[in-house]
This record gives sequence, C-alpha cells and structure tokens, in this order.
Amino acid sequence: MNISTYKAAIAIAAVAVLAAGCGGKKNNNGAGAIDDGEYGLETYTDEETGLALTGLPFDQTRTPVTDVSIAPVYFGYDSFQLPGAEIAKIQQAADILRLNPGYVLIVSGHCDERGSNEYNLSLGEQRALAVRNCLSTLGVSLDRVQSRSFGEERPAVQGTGEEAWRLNRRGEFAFYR
Amino acid sequence: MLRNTAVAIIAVLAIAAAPSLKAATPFVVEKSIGKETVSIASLQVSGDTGGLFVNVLKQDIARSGWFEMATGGYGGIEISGRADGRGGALSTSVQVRWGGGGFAWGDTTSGNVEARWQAHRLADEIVRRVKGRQGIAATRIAFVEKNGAGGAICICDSDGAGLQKFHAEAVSPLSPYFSPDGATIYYTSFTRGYPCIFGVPSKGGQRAPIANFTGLNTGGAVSPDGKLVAAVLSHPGNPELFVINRVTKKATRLTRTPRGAEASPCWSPDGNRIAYVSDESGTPQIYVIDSEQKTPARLSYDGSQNVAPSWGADGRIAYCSKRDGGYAIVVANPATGESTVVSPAGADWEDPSWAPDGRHIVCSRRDGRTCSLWVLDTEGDKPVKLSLPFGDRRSPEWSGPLR
Repeated sequence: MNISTYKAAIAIAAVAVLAAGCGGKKNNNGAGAIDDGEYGLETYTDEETGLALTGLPFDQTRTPVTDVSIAPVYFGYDSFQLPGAEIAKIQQAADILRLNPGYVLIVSGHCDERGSNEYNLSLGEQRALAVRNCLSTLGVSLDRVQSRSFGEERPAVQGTGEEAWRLNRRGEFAFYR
Repeated sequence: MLRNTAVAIIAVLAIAAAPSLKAATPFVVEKSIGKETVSIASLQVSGDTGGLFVNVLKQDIARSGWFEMATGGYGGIEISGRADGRGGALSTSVQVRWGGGGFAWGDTTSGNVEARWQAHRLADEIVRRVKGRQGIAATRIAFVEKNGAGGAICICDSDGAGLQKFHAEAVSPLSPYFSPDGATIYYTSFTRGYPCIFGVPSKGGQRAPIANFTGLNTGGAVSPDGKLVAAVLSHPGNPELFVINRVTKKATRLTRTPRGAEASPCWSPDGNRIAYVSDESGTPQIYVIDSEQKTPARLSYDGSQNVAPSWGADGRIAYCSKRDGGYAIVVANPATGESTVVSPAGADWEDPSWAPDGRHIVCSRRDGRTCSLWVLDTEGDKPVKLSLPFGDRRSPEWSGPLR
C-alpha cells in the first residue's frame, strides 16, 4: 500500500490500542498501569503486645465452599449491635464450623450509603467483628474466623431509601476449606 | 437691576451649593476589597506556548485569591519582559515589579505541559514575594472517581488540567493521601479482596503494599517527615488508630476504644499530633491525639456527625459536619474547638482538604446522585468548581507544593 494508507493504518491501530486500554491496564494519559509485581508478605510487630501482624486472608490460601450458604445478618442504622432475631443465623454458622473442622469463615461487614465512606469502612469492620465475637461465645475458635469490611462500597441492593438501606447494612458469611 | 442681582446671587449660591449636592449623591466604585491588581500589558508574548503560558498565568494569579488581573493597562504589580514560545519550546525572561520591590524570573522548557508548569511556578513566586504566603498553583489534587460500583484513583493539576486516571478497580478505592513530597499517593484498595493500604507513585507505576494485615487496613496517612504512617487496623478485635513505622516494622497503638471505631487520621503540620474520627461517644466526632502521649481530646461538639478532618498549614482543622439536616464544611480552631461554616447553604459539601496556602479548601459537593469537586475560600471568595469533564468524584486531597 502507499505511504498515506500505511500512515492511516498505523493511526487507526494506535487509536484502537488506546481505546482498548481505557478500561484496563493503560489509559490514554499513560499513568494508569499499576503493576503489583511480586512482593512478600511483611511482618509487623505490635509494639505493645509483641504479637506479629501478618496478612494471610483465608481466600488467598484456600478454596471457597460453594454448597453452603447462610442469609446475611442485618443491622440497625449506625449500629453494630446484633439484633436478637439475627443470632439464629450466627448459630447456623457455628454449627457448620463445628461439623466441618476443616472449614474456616470470612465474615464481611457492609453499610448503607449514608455517611462518610471512610467511617463506614470502620463501621463495616465492627459489624463483621461483632459476628466473629458472637461465634466465639458460641464456641468457635477465633483463629477460624476472619473479618473484613467493604464499608458502603459493595451494596447488595442499588438505590436509595429505607428498604435498600436496610438490606445493605449486613454481615455476610463465606466459608473456605 | 435688584432683581438681576438677586438672580445672580441665587445663581452663585446655587452653584456654591451644587458641589455639596454632588457630594450627597453616592458615587460607588465596584472594587474587591484587599486584592491587588496585576498587569501583564508590558509582557511580550510570542508563539503558541507563549500564549498558553500567559493564559495559565492569568488564571493562576486570579485563583490565588490575593490578586485580580488589571482591566486597564496598569496594575499595582507589573509583569514585563518576554515569554517566547515559538517552536514548541518556552523561554521566559520576566521582571515583576511593585511598589515595595521586584524580582527577575526566567526558565526554558519544552512542550505544553512544562509551559503550564512554568506559569504555575511564576504565579506561586509572585504570591510568595508579594504576600509572603505559599502559593497553590504548582500543586496537584488526587481524588476518587467512581464508575458504577467501581472506581479509580485520579490526579490532576490544581486547575483541573493534566487529568490522569490510575488502574480501574472493581470495588471503588478510598482515601487518597499525598506523601509530603507529593511523589506518592497512599490509598485504600480492595483489589486483594479486602481493604489494604497501598502507595502508588503519583506519576504511575508499580505500587507497594503499606499495610495488608488480615481485617481492616485503611486511613493510610504519611507523617510530614515521611517516616510514619497512621492507619486504622483491627487486629485488637476492634478498629483502632495505629502508627506504623516502615523501617522498624513496629505498629504502635494510639487509641483504646473497644466500643468505638476510628477513621480518617490526618497529621498536624508539625507532625506531633493526629486529628481523626472516633464514634466512641456514640456518634462520629473529631478528636486530636498527641502521637507521643496518646491522650485524645475531643474537638467537635456542634453538629450530629463530624467526619473527614484535614489539618491546614496555619493550624486550623477543616472537617465535614452534619448540621441542620445537611453536610457542611467547617473550619475549627484546634485550641478552642470553635468552628465556622465555610461552605454555602443549599447543598451537601463533604471531604475537605486544605490547599498548602492554609486559605483554600478542595471538597466535594453532592449534585443529586453524583458529586463534583469544588474549591472553597476561607477569605470570602465564591466557590469555584474544579474544571474537569463530567464525572462522579469525591475524597479530594490537595498536595503540598511541588517542583
């Protein structure tokens, strides 16, 4: 082909590369690529207790248990208190862990959209930890349960209003083996 | 004859009276109180990059809040010399003069981006020399741009130019916070499946994990000396405020609130104290803690919820306060706790972050289902929307002065 067609083809190809990259690794400003590379898990020490802090969440080292599911535990507004009606679900989780000694559990805590995103991340963690503490009182060893929070960032239900908010203020159960 | 004299006398008296009548009619001149005028009429400009330099310079001078561009040929501050922008390069040789002094300035760069940054640096130098204050033009703003359930950390210049988006994440990241030199952005990311604090170079590239312990890792805020990172961790069984040292690998606990959670730490300019959110009292409020003695003091008492503190260069603390049914930005004196609302009524304003001049604040404003970024002025200028294409943006963070 002649020069101008060749140049046009390159131009079209370049645009295609940029367009394809917009949602993924590279954006059209070039600063987008984030490469985590390989990094080891660092160990920190809590100065007060001398205990090591490590990062080994269960879902990085184990496989999900897919044939078990428990309904989420629901919370009141701006609260991490466990309503009495929700305890039965936590009892179910304790039973599953007792019957399956190889299982572990990640409880995730979530919030409705109201309030600051950062504060809701901490509140979501309190909700997950409330469920974890309840499991401990039901006889489950704490090292079989991990907490994590998504704050308001992973709603179960999109939208606004009392019903959406109620369904988003929750703790969810995910088992791993 | 007498009648003519009487008319003459009356006429003279009328004329004599006229000036006082004139004085009684108010003659109002519209003038912004306290703003000195700047003129670039004597600046010789050539080429496209020269024109770009001048346009950005004029906008930076106005956005500083201290000046306005002269409408006539003269100003209290005169900029002369040349900005030679032919061939894509920009060579400047400039004299800035005012009643009390003057200085010379010049640089040579290539390309449009560097031409903009020459203007930013000169504007900040004018603010520094004339007002003795830190300028805000040669700075950047990081923020979160949401896209459905996901989002990305983004960065732009203080005038909205140079927008760059980092890696799109399926769950929206949170809380960008600049390192003191502006080279790194610390933020909370869910890409590992749970909240972890990462540090990503502001220019893009490989990010490094800062805190990725099981449970909660959020609120990553680097100290002014760059040596410590404040963070909210939950390994005590409850979210608490810690300071971690990346060299010694020690995590030092600062708060002890088994029934309360902490969030959003930010450092004082001298690095001795941290302002943060705690709901230990039952509602989220602003506290200040001394990073050595670990004794927290509550700062906020007005409003039903007080979140998102930012500690300014002159010592004042800005935060978001829920009062009268809406969210407002307030500025508080850390010694007395006295707070003043600085955002306009009629909208929800959140996520304040001080500019390095200790005068302007970038924040988000809710517009229905999305938010936009605005710059507020604590000296009374009107809020100015950050000039960006349409998007849903929040959690802005203003860098310190950059080279």
